[in-house]
Amino acid sequence: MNIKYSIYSLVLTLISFCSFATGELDSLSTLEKGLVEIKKVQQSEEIKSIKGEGDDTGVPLTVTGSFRFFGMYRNMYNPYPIEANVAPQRINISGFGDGSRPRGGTPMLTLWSKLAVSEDINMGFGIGVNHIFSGSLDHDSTRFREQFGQTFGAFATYKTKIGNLKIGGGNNYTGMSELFSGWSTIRWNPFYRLPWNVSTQWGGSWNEYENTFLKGGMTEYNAAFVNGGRINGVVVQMSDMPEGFGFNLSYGANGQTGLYQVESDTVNTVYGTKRTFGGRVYKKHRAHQFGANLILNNGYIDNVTDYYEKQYMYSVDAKLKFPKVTIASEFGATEFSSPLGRYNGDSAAMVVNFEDYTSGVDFLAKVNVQLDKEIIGIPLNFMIYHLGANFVNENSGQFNTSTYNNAAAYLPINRDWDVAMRRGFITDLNQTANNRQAVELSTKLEKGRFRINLGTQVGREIESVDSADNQVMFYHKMNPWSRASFQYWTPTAGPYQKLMSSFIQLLERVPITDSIVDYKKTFNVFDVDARYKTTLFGRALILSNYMSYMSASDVFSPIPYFSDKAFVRVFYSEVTAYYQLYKKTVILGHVAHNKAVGNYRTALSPDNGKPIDQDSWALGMGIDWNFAPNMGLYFREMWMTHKDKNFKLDHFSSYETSVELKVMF
Amino acid sequence: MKKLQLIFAFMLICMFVQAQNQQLITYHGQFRTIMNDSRLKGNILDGDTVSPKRGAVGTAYFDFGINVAPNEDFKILAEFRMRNIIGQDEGYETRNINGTGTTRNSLIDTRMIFRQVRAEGRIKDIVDYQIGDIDMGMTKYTLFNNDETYHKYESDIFKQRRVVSQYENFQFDNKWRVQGLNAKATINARKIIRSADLSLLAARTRMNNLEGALDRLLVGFKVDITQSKYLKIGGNVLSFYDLPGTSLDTLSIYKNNVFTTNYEVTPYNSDKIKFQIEGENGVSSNSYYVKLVDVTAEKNDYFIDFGTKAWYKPMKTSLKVSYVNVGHNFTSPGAQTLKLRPTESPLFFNSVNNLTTERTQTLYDRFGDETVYNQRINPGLMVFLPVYGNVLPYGSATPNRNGIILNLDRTVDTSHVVSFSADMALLTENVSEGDSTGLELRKFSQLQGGVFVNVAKLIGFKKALEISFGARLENTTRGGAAAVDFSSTLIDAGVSVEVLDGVYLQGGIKQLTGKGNEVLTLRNTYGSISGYTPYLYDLNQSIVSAGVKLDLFTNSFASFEYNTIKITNNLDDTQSYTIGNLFVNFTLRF
Repeated sequence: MNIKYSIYSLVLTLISFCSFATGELDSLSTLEKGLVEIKKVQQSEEIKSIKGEGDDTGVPLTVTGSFRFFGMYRNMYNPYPIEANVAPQRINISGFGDGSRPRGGTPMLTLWSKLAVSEDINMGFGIGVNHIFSGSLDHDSTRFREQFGQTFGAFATYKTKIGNLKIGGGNNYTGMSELFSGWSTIRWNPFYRLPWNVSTQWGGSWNEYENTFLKGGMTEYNAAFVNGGRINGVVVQMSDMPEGFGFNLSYGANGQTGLYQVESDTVNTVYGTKRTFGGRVYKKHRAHQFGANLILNNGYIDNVTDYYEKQYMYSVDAKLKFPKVTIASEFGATEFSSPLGRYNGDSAAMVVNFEDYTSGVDFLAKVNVQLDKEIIGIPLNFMIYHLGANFVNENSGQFNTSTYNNAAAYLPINRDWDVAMRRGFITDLNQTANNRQAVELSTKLEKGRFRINLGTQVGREIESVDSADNQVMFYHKMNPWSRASFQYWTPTAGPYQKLMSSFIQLLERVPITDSIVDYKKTFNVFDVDARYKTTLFGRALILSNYMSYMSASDVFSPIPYFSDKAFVRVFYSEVTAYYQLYKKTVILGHVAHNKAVGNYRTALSPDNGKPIDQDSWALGMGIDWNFAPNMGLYFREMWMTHKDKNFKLDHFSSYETSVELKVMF
Repeated sequence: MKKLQLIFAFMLICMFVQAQNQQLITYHGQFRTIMNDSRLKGNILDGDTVSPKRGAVGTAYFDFGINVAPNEDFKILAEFRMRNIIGQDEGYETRNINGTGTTRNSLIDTRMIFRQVRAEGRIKDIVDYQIGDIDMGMTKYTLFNNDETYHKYESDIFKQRRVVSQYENFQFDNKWRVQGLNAKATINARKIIRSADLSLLAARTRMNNLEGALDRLLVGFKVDITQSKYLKIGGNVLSFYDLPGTSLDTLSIYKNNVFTTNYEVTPYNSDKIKFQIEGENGVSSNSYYVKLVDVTAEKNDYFIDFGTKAWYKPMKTSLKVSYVNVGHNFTSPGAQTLKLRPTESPLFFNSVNNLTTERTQTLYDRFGDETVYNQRINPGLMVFLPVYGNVLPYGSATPNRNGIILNLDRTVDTSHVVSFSADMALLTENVSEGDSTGLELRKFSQLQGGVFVNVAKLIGFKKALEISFGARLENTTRGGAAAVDFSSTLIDAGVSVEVLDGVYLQGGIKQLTGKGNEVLTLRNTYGSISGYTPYLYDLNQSIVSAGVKLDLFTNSFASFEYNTIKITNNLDDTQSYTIGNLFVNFTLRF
């Protein structure tokens, strides 16, 4: 209760602070402008001395960014054992600081700075700083607080006679094509609030909810784990060249190349010297764009031996924009070779047989067609893709479900799990995976105050998997932000070691017990997202209902299976209400239900010999208060319960309280 | 909970102060990304199955300086460093179930340190002071950070690399980075003297510990008096000593004092010709007490540096002839400490021959490897390697030398078509060192110089085109039973061509050849001779570099270069090797 009391004290403190800040906005007038401009004054010779190579450019430094404080308390009054053969324990967590649970991952403070050196030259750099109020001052805790590598980079741009040049160092985007860069998308209910949610900047919470009602799709939020096509190294990019040409070059390390080197004073320790080189050439023609792309990940697995691995990825892409039709397409190929052999296994230890292995050329293709409403009466989005089993790119939005073939970099030898590996993953709308070919159809219907998004995707494996690796993996959509933190970044979590938690995602493995796998699994998903806007007591109210049905089976079907023919069936439904109590105050209500059922060809319970049969419920309420133009306070209270009828240890109940302060400047 | 509330209160105050006093807070900074990818090849790897033959390291640094000036007479400068190792993978043990700690996210690994801090100000418009991390220098015989291996005319492609090493080690303008206090005042007078500049330095270079090490202080005082346009005279005192009583137990006490006077007499100064007599003379005293044996070793000596210098102003050219005599027991740590540690293993490929031997530094390591640099003043003479400079290895204050030094110089100025300089030194030892008879003296000769040509100006080329060439030749001989015959030749050549606006193609060559035999003088920490060892050398070192540099704005650039370092060991060809090095440097400053 003391911690609970502390939470409420904290809320009061925050409210006091907010009130004070509101009153002091005149003195913080620069915040209202959205920018803080810091004039750099003439520096003395002494300052130059301390700088070493100093000079005085005398230019203004513009800083934008955000500050986020997050505090939460969870009481798990009905816990489950988080490790095998360990008695159930309450997972009571109180976290303060950057909101990561329980450790870093999202910045508490972000700073984006820009220097306008001259009319044609700009320089920028970004920093994100984590800070967890762990209560400890030891070195390790301090180190954990200061992770800012995700945003740690700088660049300079300037105009030349032949185009705009951008050169960057540190962590920067590579500017490659869609298949070679970018983020995977997941659906995320606004009730849960993303760490980097910027509603204060977008005009407040209500504006955000209204925009979601009016324009939002079902899978518009980015997953955070993949790096979005960034590189840690250098980038050189030219744009707006004559005839519409441009190019993007990058060199360095990323998730695909893995380790570049460790401490500078131990440079000769046995670590690989892999690096990635990326190149893209493109041409704009009217509204269309055409490009050619190459990524080369290569290098030695260590600094001593001659084990040289390499992965080529190349593609051509075209984005054609016609008045009522948009077609985006990309076609490419990839090849991987390694003297170590092919990596095998999933959560088991890596097996390296030191035999030359070449994956052979594998292909990738993706076509997305968007038809405007005028053509057939409703807007239609059609997507088809084919991604070979050997196309593995941790820097893009595709999920890896098939192979570790490039994982010597990302997953060093003797490591025994890969948080990015999602064998048998049931992809959601707008998601793609390798060793998979799929078709997706979606549309959006509007009638007065009513909006509904409908979509379905059916995908099938290209290659069968070994029986040892045969499994289905689905992710829990009900409050994954919280559930993933029960055992943060753990590959074998949960009482039966079937859960894998990564950044704000919780996935569950369901092994298939077939001894002979002579089929290719089919994955289906059907989503409905309905929204309705009305008024209640003269104030605006938005009601939202999202439903998702997923299945995985061994027989192809264009629609999901609703019977035991499916290895796994997952149904998720949620209703969220947003009520604009005052102009800057929104009250939220939320209820969600998740049901997951397996058949008898999946791993059965050791307790009663039956497959999974899970029921999960969540009930929540929240208050958003945008007390100042760039500041917001967000309060959430959530109750959750989860129970598997057959896997007796798989159950929990908890409630949690959280409060978030967000300041944009 | 109280801590939380305190933190909030602190944040509140910070925001309030920031809002109210933005004009008092200014910033400076540097973002630099370095990528270094090296390959080792050659005979040295024959039969070697365990030594690394590849090495890569990359780092992104962001040094962010905050300058706070609450009033005109006071300011605080604080600089933080944020560092992100490229591809580094460490920390987050919670993500790892085998306990070795890895995130597998090559984009995350960062550290933050407090790089430097200093307060400075002015008292009553008279005294300027600095407290904290300060760069200090006095004269060449008292406190002076000498350059390593002659590089006055090296290519710009090498300079860029050297600048990184110097920046990382706070090596600026022949000064030493110390932590302490510096105060300066100028007294203007109108009768006997025109003005007097006074400066005081006090710094701690070593912190005491409970094992008997005392606090070690560096305290200096300098006065420069301008009597008239004909005469300037100065006095310098520098003490480097242990402060008794600062540790519970005292194992040893070290003390070194240097007193010098410097002067400039200008009897003739016309529009075309200027003639000057200048020099510096002084004495040193050194003592080292060891409690265990209750013995104090003492050394006292003197030096003379007397010269005449003439300028021919139309050509901006000067000629100086000096006589120097530096006693073999002259001790001045502030002026004799080497800029780098010659025996330190280099960063790359530090172990070879199946990890059985340490690779010795090459010329390339000495300017491209920031880890071999020296950040502190050493109490005694350090061991040096003759091939990198045997005539004046410790700079002007090199002890045990006497003879003649000539300097011919035309001011280096890129606005002129040609700049050049030439130096010659003909020296001998004062006392024999390393000769069993104690009679034979070494004879040293050195000739060094170079030329810088602004070709673009010479031929009327619109873009920049510059070439440079420099060389140094040294020879050391000694007769007798322990004969010495050692010579070395260093050649530097460079070219830089602007091919597009702000885009430069650059190339450079360094060649160092050393051959012969010498005797290395081994010394203990406090400079006392502990023995001698033969130094047999017959190596050729060559560095060939080429790259492209893109100037972004002032002091900001991106460069990509490839270096080939070839070491040919003529004494043992199995130890010959070649290093290929790709170097990327992206630097933004504001």
